[in-house]
Amino acid sequence: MSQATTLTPRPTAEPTDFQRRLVTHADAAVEWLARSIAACGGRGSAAYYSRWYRPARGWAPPYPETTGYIIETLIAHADFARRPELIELALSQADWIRTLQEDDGALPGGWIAGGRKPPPSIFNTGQMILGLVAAGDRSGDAACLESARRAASWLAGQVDSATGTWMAHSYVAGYSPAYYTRVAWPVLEVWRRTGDSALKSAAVRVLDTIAGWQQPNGAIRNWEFRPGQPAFTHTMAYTIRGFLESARLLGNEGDRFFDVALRAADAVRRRMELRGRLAGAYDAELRGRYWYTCLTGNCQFAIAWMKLGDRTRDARFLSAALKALEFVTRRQSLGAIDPNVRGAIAGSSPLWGRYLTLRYPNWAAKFFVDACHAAHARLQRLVEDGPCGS
Amino acid sequence: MRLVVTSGYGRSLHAIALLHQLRARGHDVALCLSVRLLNAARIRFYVRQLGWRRFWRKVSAKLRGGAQPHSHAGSAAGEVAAMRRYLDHAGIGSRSVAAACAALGVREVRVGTLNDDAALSALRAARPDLVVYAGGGILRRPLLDIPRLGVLNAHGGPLPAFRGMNSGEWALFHGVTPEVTVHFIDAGVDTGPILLRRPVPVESWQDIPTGRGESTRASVEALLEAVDLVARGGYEVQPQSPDDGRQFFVMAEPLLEVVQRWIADERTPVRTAAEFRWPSRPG
Repeated sequence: MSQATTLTPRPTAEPTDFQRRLVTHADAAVEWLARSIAACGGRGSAAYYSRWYRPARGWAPPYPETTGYIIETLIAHADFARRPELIELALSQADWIRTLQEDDGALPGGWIAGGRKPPPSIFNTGQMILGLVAAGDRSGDAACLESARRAASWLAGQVDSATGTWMAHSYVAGYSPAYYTRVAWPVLEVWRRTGDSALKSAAVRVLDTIAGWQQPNGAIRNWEFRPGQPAFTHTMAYTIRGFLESARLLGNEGDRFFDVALRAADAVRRRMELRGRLAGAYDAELRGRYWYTCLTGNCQFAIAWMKLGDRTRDARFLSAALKALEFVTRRQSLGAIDPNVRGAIAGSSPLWGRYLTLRYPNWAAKFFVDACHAAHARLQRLVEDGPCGS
Repeated sequence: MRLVVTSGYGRSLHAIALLHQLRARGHDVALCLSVRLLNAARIRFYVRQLGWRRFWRKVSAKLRGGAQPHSHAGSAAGEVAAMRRYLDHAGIGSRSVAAACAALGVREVRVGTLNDDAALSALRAARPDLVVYAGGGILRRPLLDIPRLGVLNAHGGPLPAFRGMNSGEWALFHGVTPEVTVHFIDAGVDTGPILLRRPVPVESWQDIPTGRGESTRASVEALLEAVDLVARGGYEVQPQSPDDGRQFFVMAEPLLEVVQRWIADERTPVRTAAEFRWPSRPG
């Protein structure tokens, strides 16, 4: 695989104190992600770290799904922190993911433990496509894009013609979650790079189906992991982000998906502002479970709100995003006694909250770093440009 | 015209100034409804909004004499300085609402919230023509229906564009000259008919606390002017449409830090509130 080490120039204006904090926190989280990969011998990132669940080693086996989307984070941080060695690390993970691909293009769900490869998964395949595409874009390696194309074609072929969404190869048998919007998005990423209209048709079909699930209060039916349970902010934000990124890729044709994302995200934003913080999960009436916070959900909502704020030119979204992210920065330990907790982001705050109880998942660190990058860039723009409209 | 003044807490310099100045202008202030600083609803609201740490900083600052704490935006003393200067200049010696009421012979009723039964019955008994709002939390319909002419509020930012909290800071963030807007309170958040607006000079925003202090001082003067206007009669109001503005919440600390940076760099607003329009449609 060819190596690309071109880094974007550093910004010139003096950063704010909060931006400096973001750099420190993001660096620590990336160091932790690198440790999660080293813990798996460089072949994938460990799903989580927990001395409670894994008393001996602490580290869980590698998780291809999240390793996939960690690739783009590592590449972004290479630019952000001017650390070209992270690109090498990211591309090596893309190589590993390609070794897991089935002949039909599918990629596995679950973890890779004891050399056993789990059966294919719709959702996980989508997330790995994001990493393959990011690696391909950065390295120019056609093999990555080809791998992504085969995975996307497999996904397009799996859309159920009766329901208009994916029914097989799901996390819960017979249940098609709304966060499959986050599978439609990577399929569209491949469509944009290949021009294969079958991919676009399949993705739009799924997006239209899920858009029809939006409730009058902005909530989206089936955005929870399991039917009938309150939805963690993690899967709610997955759903919203899928709509947002799909809308971006589809241009004007995607406006209706943007509107769905906006209504859902704004409903949650208002609740967060009135209550002072995000709940860990929300039920169908958007009543929150406030006794804990799903930290990765905070970061994911922060990212979605920042993107919405860009497009709507509504700074209230940025303000909400910064609050949600600041909450997480205050819960990342930079000086923990256990070095494998240093820089990690817990599933929940408090640690015994419902989401990934007593664990530090790799995707929480990933979305935290992404959110830090996004916030830093927006604050930099404000510092340089001055008051909005000036 | 019989007036009632509210007070958000016992040391509100804002309320003290209004009580003295309304009386000095010959108005009949029948009652002051003073909200106790600490009550369950208020603690819950602020802890949710600010978290325990910032809540405690805010309460301790209030107990010390009225300034709100700031981590990024300069000294908290700056916020209260403008009102202290105003009181000194006006020769007002009271430093508590209770002392002001005692000095002026105004009945003070301390309440848990302005919407509780004690507040409502005291207000009904006072038979006010007008309530002058000087803090105390969100007002509910039963209270709003009592005064014959309504409840006047001085909002700390330009209406209708910037509703809700930190509206002066949000105006600056959007490159708009800060101003205070006096309006009649209705059931919405800062959506009631506008009576008058007065600018807060940009130069007075040396930092966020002093800007807030100057806004408070300007709001006292604007409210006095508005009460005079209502007392004279024949005034006109400008109705607001809900679509004309956006409701803001507390500005995130990192954005306050950016606004503070702009102020320090003298990157001043480029337009007045009258020139400002929100984009018609998101997206």
